[in-house]
Amino acid sequence: MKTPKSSKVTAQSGVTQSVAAESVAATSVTTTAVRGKRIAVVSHSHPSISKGGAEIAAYTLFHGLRRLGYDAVFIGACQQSQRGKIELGPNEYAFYYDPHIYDHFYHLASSDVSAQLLTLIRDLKIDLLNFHHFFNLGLAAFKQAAQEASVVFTIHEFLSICHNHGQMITRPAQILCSASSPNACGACFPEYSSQQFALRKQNFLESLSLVDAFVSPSHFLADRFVAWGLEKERMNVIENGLMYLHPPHLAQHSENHIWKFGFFGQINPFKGVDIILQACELISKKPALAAGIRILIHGNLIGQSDAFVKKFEAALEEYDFLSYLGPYNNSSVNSLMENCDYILMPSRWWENSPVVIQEAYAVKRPLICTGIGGMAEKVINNVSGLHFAFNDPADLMAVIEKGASATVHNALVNGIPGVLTAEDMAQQYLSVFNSVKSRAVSEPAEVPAE
Amino acid sequence: MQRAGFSAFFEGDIEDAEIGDLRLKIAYTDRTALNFQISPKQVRKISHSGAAARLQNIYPTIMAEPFFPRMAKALRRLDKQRARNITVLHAAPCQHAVVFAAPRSQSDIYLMFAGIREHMNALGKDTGIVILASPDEFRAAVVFHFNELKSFSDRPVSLIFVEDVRLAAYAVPSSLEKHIQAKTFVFVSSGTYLSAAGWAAVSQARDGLTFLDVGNPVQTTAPGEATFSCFAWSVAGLKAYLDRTDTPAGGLDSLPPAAKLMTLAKRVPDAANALFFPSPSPLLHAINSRFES
Repeated sequence: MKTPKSSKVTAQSGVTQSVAAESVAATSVTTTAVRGKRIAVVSHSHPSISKGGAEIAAYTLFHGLRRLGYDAVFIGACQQSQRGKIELGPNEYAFYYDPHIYDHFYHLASSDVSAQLLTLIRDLKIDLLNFHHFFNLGLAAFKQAAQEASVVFTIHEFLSICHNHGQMITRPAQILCSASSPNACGACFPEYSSQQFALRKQNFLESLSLVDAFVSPSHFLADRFVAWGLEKERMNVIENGLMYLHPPHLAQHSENHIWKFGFFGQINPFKGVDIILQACELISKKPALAAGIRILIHGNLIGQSDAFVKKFEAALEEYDFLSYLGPYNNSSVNSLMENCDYILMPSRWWENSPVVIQEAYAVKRPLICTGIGGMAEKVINNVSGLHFAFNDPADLMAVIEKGASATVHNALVNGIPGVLTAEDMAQQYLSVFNSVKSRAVSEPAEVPAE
Repeated sequence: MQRAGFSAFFEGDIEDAEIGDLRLKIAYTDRTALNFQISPKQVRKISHSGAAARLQNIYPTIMAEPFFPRMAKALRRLDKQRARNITVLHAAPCQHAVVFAAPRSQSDIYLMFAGIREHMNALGKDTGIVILASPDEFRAAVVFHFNELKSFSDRPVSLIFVEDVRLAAYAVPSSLEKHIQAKTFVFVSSGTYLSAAGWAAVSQARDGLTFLDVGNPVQTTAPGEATFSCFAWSVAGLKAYLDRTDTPAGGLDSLPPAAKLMTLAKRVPDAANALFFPSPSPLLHAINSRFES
């Protein structure tokens, strides 16, 4: 039986320093150890079913590994009711779950899910599992799978730490939260005892103690998890890559240029579109500014109150410079972003490594974002974007005003970092996979590159 | 009169069948009187500790009544009697039983079954799992997980329904003796979760009374406590103890074990964690405060 990697994970370590030193350098990769071994990238969904950041990142990595000629398979979870909708390509597999048979507190699923996953791992003779979530498959399946192969776990959000949708925001007050504790979490969720929260954490740490290495797409997320109890030595930071990159179309700014600021993503209560609306009210009181800008909202409304929807509709009617362009397909995000000068990200939660940032960088568009968490890490203030103060529409307006300048914009465009391709991402992951002590397995022939 | 409520206390047991032909006589100051017939459907019998909070709402100062000690003793006795009402869904005999009282929360039911699935194959060959559950709103979840457990394991697993899962320890002798034929057992209450150390101990704990210490997972450095929330014993030993002892209302673990028992029992440290610490109602506290179990 596989034993926990360390007893250290059971206590809150209190480590708060950055794990920057653990960032993986793409250039110094030795790729021999996992060559000839079969790698399974395991996701809680499949991009043909849902297009969340975690499943897109997992799928991009899978293709990156295949393009580099590695024997990678993709295993995705799929709701039983969506069996007819999933589109599995070559080397892609699915296991099926019933969302009604899942506990969202301890994250435990039906035994049937474990059995399906184990069958796939054994039938496919998987040597290394790279899990991109535990959601939908549950911790019991995760623990059983970890007995079968080496495990690298990619963390995409804070769900292990925070029961409030992994947002690390208190409820009902919606205040940013820095660290979980049984008593604090019990205050957010009085229906659970502090003992249940302590056991929830204990079970997570026990399950994660079977993991050989962790990957986080941001230092911010990595630091939070190290402070929570994961071993710093096993933590690696690798940015998510993008599946396809096209040369960006760089806009020219005439003297009377109308500056366009675009929001992209789900319009849910955590994404802060309400702050944009409040900023619009302030902008409308500055006619010169209002005449020189446009704010374009892209995405679909999810989980918003009737009051917000009314406010949103009223703002669209009232402000000429504000437009709602509706939902969009991922395939069109490049051209939609290229129609903007800046990308707005006014999130009310920490974020981790939102794909919108990479997508914006891919088309050389600077961001204006809340200066907290993963956003503050990925968007360097005054280098590749501009920060505004959390929950402060007046500051957002001031930053929009500052950004509406060719000098500022050009400087920020020049500060935008490069974006990883799927192959770049896979190369960095391979150095982590190679660091994992793998089991003795027969070596299948190398596969042709995709 | 249609909306009025009246409470009355009677000494002694009243069977439901005996509640009939009730009349309420109202005497007026002019010496006239009226008799109202009360339908048996309108009568609520509050005779057990499960409704202690309701009883206290109706009569908050009942503890001051001279009849209270006698009433408290009757309520304690009634809990043991209620626990004898069991319904067997599936029984698989075994020598040694690990008896789980099913939690009263959906999440904790998942947790309990996940723990059982993870550890049961390491148990001794003569050891079986027995689930005691209430036929309440969580019945469907328990039956589902039990069927999964049964289909994914060749170990003896049993599911028995009791009237109130908080009283499950009182139901252990009647459940195990007749239907499971187990000689020894480990009992895990509905508010307790076995640790890895606890699972390692359950196969061996069959020699007299053993307390598997229950800790507070919020305070991991504090030692656990010996309680009837998690203990091992022989079926005959528990039966004799329950027959001769005035035990607490609200479940055997409502009070700490008597000092005399503690001197006889063995202990297993760090064996389990509490899922919560219940706050007994003042009335239940009063019902159990005048004696030591």
